[in-house]
This record gives sequence, structure tokens and C-alpha cells, in this order.
Amino acid sequence: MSFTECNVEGYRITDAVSQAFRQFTHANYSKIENPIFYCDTIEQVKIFYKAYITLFKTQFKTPIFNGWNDKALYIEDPVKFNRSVNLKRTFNKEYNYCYSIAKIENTHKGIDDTAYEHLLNILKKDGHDLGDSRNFVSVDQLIHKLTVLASSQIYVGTNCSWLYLAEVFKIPAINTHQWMYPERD
Amino acid sequence: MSTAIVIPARMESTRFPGKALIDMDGRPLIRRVFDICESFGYDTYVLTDSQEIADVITKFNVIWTSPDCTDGTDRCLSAIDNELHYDKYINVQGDTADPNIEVVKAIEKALDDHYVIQAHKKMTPTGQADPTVCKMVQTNNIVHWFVRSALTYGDFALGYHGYTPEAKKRWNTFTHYNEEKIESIEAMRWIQNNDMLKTVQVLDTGIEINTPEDYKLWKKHYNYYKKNISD
Repeated sequence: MSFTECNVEGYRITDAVSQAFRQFTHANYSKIENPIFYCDTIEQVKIFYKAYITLFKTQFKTPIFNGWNDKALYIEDPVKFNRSVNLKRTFNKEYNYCYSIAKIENTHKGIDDTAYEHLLNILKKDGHDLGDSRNFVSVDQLIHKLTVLASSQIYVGTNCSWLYLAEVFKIPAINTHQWMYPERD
Repeated sequence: MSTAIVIPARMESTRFPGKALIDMDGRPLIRRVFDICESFGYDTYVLTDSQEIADVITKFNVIWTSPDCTDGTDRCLSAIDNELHYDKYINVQGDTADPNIEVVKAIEKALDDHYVIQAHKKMTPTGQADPTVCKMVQTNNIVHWFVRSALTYGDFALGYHGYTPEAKKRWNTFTHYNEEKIESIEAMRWIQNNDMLKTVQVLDTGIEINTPEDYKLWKKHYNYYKKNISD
């Protein structure tokens, strides 16, 4: 455990699952039984929360989910988060790799169309596509994707929540960053 | 203290092959057992070496075990401190058609005092005289023996057990004796290796699906319930 305990009661939660898990972990490590989570989208964060308590040992009793609050605590350090979780179960590495790649039109972390098509053709041959790391439709969908990630030998893909969560499951994570050539005359 | 329910399941049942996937009013037996146990509020896992069984359970809740596991106890204990990290484990056999939360809670409580717990209920004289039924001989909740021969005493050993990680350490050192093969009861290994198997008495009316006849009986009871009691 490397988090510092504090007297904070409220946490800010964005729509990124790894960031949400980081806030839950801090609240759990700080032994806050009834934490308040201030969220962008409450229904999405409830999905994150249910997945979190399924995967990790916690002592939460009655968490409260409220709308966004700029002043609530926001824990940024992913390294400390990844080393402070307590998994209920571990996973056999039954898949060679999983992946998730995004196009640059959807995120600044993405790659262009040509690179996307080439890379996808390579990755889909023997890998499991985790898909989007946001906008989950159900707890089961998120838990299934996390299980596939946890059961893989390697994660390959965009610098998104999957990449941060790979470390939680002790999986090497390879970030696909495209070098954009400067425009030429 | 954290507690998980573990459900060992396989396809190669001697008396009723493939029973894990028989239809129980619209869902496979193993799925029914899993759903009911999960509804109790415990983290629940199915332990199996069968892809067919794994296919009907949510991926997160499947623990893959070795085909070399010799029995249900072996299958459960192999996962403790490997894939699973809890303080207490309640083993509900995969053929327990109607899991009972009261039995689970009784075992969970008994695990505060001992590392391996069996659950039992009182047996009728008809059951005690039936040579196909296994009788458990116990006094003061300490198990002395299991036997199938006709007796005029004995209790009914249910398909529920409890373990702490300490149980695994001991189990892995045990010798297998011939009597447990004759009676088809691996729990005898605790007794024959001079260890102590404790038990807890419970009330339970559920049916274990060991044979096709048990399946017919369950369907008869279930249909009666649906027709006359529900709604």
C-alpha cells in the first residue's frame, strides 16, 4: 500500500474507468465507508463502482453518487493506484493478447485511417478486441472486458483506461503511438 | 473476513453424465445453482475443466481447474490461494438444485472455529436402511465415519462444505486410503489422516440431482410448486 490516508470524503469521477477505479481505491485505502463520488454521469459511475467491488476487496458500505463538483478530491497518480488494489481473484493468462485501437478522428491519442486499417488487420488475427474503454452499457459488459484484459498475456493499443488497468493485472502494456510526419511542401 | 461460494462442476458424472447442463425450467442446472448462490450476496465462482460448463457462466465467475483434480474437494482447494483470495470458502456442490442460504450462513459461522466444516441434516429410518445412501456418523458435531451399508442410525451429509486456507495446507499432505474409494466419499480423507472434520446440523429440504430419478423428482416438485404455490 502506498496511498496516504486522509480525511477527504468526496471524490471527483470522470467517465474514464481507470480514473474512477483510482478514486475508489483511494477511498477504500483511506477506509471511508460512506464516500461521496461526484460524477460526470452518475449511471456510468454506478457501473464502474459495481465492477470495482466485484473485482477488488473493499470495505464500502453506502457510497453516495452526486453530480459533478469541481472542488472534490481528484487522485492523479496511477502508479500508486495500481499498487494499492487488492484483487479478489487472479486470472490464468489464456489469451495471447488483447487490443484496443482508436482513430485520430475520435481522440488525439488515436492513429490515422491507413495506420488503423493495417494495424487492425494484424491485431485481429490472434487477439481479442476490448473495444471502447468508455460508454459501457452494463456492469456485465465492463466486467467481461476486464476479465478478457486480465486473462491476456499482453495489452496492445491506445493509451486509454485499458493501458492503466493492465498494470493492475500485471500485464505488459504496449502503447500504439503514431508518429505524425510534419507536412511537406 | 471475506467469503466466497465455490461450485465445483464437471461433465463426467458417473451416475448421470452431463447432468450439469440438464434443463432446469429454462436454464442449465449449473447456471441455476450459480444464479441462486450469487443472489445470496456472496462472490460466487464455478470451478470446472469443461468448456461446455464455462460457456453458460459469466466469464469472470469461471475458475479453470486441472482435469487431474480427483474430486470436488480437490477442485475447490486447488483454487484457494491460487486464483482465489478469500478468508472463507463455502463449497456448494453443482448438483444442489435448490441452494439454501441458511446452510451457507451456518457453515460460514462454523468456519470461525474450525478450518473444515461439513453440513448435515437428520436422516429418516428409511434413508438409514437404504444401502445406496451414504450415512454420516457423528457425535457432538465431530464426524467419525461415512458408510453406505444399511444402519439404524446416521445423518445425511449434504453437498455443502466449508474451508479456510488452512484446510488446503492439510489436504495436500493427506494419503488416499481405499475406504474412501469404496464409499465414494472423499471427505473420509480428513478422518483417515487423523485430522478433524467438524459438522453443523441444518434444516434443508432441497434435492440433489445425482441420478435421472432425482431429476424427475425435482421436476415433479417444481411443477407442483409452480402450479399450486407461486402467485
